Amino acid sequence: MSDSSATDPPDPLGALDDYASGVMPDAEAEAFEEQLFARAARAEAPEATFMETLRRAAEWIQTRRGSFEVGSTRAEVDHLLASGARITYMDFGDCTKPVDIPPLDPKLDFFIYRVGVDLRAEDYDTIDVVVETDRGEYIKTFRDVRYDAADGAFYGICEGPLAEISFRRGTAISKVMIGRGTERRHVATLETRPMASSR
Amino acid sequence: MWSVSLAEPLEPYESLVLLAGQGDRAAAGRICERFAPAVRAFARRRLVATEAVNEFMQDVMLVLVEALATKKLEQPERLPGFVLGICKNLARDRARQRERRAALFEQYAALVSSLTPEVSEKPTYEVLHLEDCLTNLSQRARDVVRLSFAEAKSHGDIARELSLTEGNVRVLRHRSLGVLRDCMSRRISWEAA
Repeated sequence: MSDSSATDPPDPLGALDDYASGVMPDAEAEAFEEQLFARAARAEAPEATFMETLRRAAEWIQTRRGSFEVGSTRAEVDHLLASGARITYMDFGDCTKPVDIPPLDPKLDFFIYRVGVDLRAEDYDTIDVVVETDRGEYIKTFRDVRYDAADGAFYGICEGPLAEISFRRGTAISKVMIGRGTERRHVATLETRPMASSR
Repeated sequence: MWSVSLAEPLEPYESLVLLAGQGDRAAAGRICERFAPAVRAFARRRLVATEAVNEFMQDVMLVLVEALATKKLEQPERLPGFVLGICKNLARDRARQRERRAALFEQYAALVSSLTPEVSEKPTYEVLHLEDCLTNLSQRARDVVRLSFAEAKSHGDIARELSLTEGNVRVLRHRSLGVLRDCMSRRISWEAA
């Protein structure tokens, strides 16, 4: 049995971040190190494992994509299309008709899509896209989505395996919401449907 | 998933120390795995580049596995302090250790190399999971995550770049870490739906 509860910091992840980033003063860090190593010996420092996982994945995304934005510009898409990566590009239209997604190449590097909803004339602070199943069950929200200022369209760049996971799940209803202050307004809906795989 | 699986009871580290002293390399490897994230955190406080952090971690583990193999650690219950002591000694004098490192690496390379994951050409599940979870954050929070963990910038540099106070950066980091940890402890949102 462990006696870790008596010695664990109240917010182990925050404390570890303060320690590793140098915010924690040296005097405090010394005691923290002893406690961290004692918990590590008992495999009871999952926050340290999480922190390294996060750094590794963040470095990978930064090296490969160079961006932590949600939504891309046409220029970024063109740059990627010219890179030689294995890419499927689809124009999803203007959200007036459901879009059928064909089975994706398992070796795909990126799936890129364009959604032709022009929000340039709208008055808003934020754009979010809320995704649900066709039964209305919540899946996720894309917050602070960026669009291309030149043509007003959304461009999404998705890692091939993640696109496969998302489309294979089934029909998805994506609601484009614009917000100003505390108000949110639903301005467009995109429906995507996976086509049956012949594989 | 970042939470520890409790499906199988963990071996007490004292038993692993005894096994490692009897030549059980797998036991030594399990000890190294437990300490690797903590040793990296120790190094992150002192070093910036990920390569330097990885090298420091390997150096510590090389000294540790040799100490275990040669039964230098006579009281297994003192393992946590012993590992921390290796970290502190290496941090004090890294130059002197380089020669010794080469000799130890020849002997124990296979054991410690696996602790530094290779950078994959293809995105790992962890990368996909983080990409999925990052979309839950505001752009400001994503910027803080990028600058903090992908670019290893200090609170001061991030504050200047994003026109925030250092206090705001710290709060945003902690809040974003909490959101990401919770999100990454579940399945990718598309799989969970």
